Amino acid sequence: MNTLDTSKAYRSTIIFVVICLLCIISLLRETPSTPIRNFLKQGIYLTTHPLISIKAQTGKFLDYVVAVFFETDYLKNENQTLKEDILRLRLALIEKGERNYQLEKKLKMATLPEEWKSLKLLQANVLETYQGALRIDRGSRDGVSVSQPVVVPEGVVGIIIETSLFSSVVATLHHRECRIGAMIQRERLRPYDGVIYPSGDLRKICTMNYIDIYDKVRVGDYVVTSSESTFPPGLPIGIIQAIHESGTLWKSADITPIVDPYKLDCVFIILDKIDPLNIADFDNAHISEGKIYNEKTESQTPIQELLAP
Amino acid sequence: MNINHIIWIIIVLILSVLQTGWPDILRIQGVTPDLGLIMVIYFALFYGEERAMFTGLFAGIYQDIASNTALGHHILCLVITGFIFGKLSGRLISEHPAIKSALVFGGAVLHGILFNIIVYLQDPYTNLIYVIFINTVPSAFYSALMTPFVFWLLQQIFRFTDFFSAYSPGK
Repeated sequence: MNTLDTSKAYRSTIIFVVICLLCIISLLRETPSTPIRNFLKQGIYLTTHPLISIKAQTGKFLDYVVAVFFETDYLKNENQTLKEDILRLRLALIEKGERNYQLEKKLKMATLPEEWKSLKLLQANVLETYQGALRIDRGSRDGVSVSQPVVVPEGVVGIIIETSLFSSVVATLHHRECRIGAMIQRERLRPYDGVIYPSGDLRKICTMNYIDIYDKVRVGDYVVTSSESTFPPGLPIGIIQAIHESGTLWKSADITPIVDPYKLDCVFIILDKIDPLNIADFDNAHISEGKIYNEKTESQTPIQELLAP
Repeated sequence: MNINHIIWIIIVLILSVLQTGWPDILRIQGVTPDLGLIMVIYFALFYGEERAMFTGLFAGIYQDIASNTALGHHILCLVITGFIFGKLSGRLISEHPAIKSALVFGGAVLHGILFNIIVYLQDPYTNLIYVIFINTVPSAFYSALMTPFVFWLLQQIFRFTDFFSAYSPGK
């Protein structure tokens, strides 16, 4: 019997002895099984990862198919509900915006210029606008009469030209019947006729005629109400946009009104008659960046000079 | 490696997973049958000690890993049991199910004693006799009761694979 036959005859015994020896060594050294377990775990994860991914994708696809083919009613209802929610939210947004606008308007009205606090003002809402005129919801019952000035915190709106018991008509600077006594604020310069009036064209500008050819008028100068007007002097009317020299002794100026009457919701009617003795104070008012400031200085100028055109 | 070996490895893995992964399914009053041991004895009786030892090796590795014990603990017990019963299989007439169950019972007791001796050597404060009577003997009975079912199942599987191997194109 050679070595090969011997090894075949005792193969199982040899295997047994080898396995037992290895196990005993391993037990004596207390070899942990954790590394093998981790290795197997990683192998299992790697092997099963594609299967798990395919399973997840298949599940999603089946859910989608089921949702598309069997849950159309649910989707329709959901769509309808969402549309209703969007509509409700839009309406709420519009309501909030309107409320915000009303609050801003009230805030603006509450912060009137200091000079106006001594005046008797009547607030009126604009009912409609047509051909440069405004119809407001205050009439003779509220003490409104013809020629009373109408203003907003930014400046002049116009004058009352018609009154009825419950409403009135305001001729704005865009209306052909509007005439307002005006002066140029910087030089306190008055034109010869002392008024500005609408140009009558579609450019929505006013005209100041009969300015002396030697008077220094510049584009950008503020035009304010003068002492001869029914307004408190110094209220902003507009800004000079262009100056025209006709070759005669006079020149004219185009004026852009500060207030756009077509954007107004609310105006103030000045019910007081302007006391000429207070004109000196109002006359010292000046405008800077669209706001009115009043320098309460002790003016030594005689009243005749102040009122002179 | 023919299909018989592949099926054998798969069966070993499945029963080992069943033994270690879902013990609650098989547990009665805290006692579980040792499916790995039944497998080892089945292969020892029908395929000889070599197949039994490798079965013990694979099942033991899996059980060591699953139970987080030192490597070699389950392997050594199963391999010794498989070797002894593989050697005995040539000298025993083991066709009757009761004989098979009795062999499994004996193998389970032997396996339990070896296992607990190793535990005792690692931790001498363990009550060896108490553990053998409380744990090993009931487990051996349960394994013996499960033997006819497991043996029948394995026979059915390997009868099919033997038939398939005999008529495979390589033969």
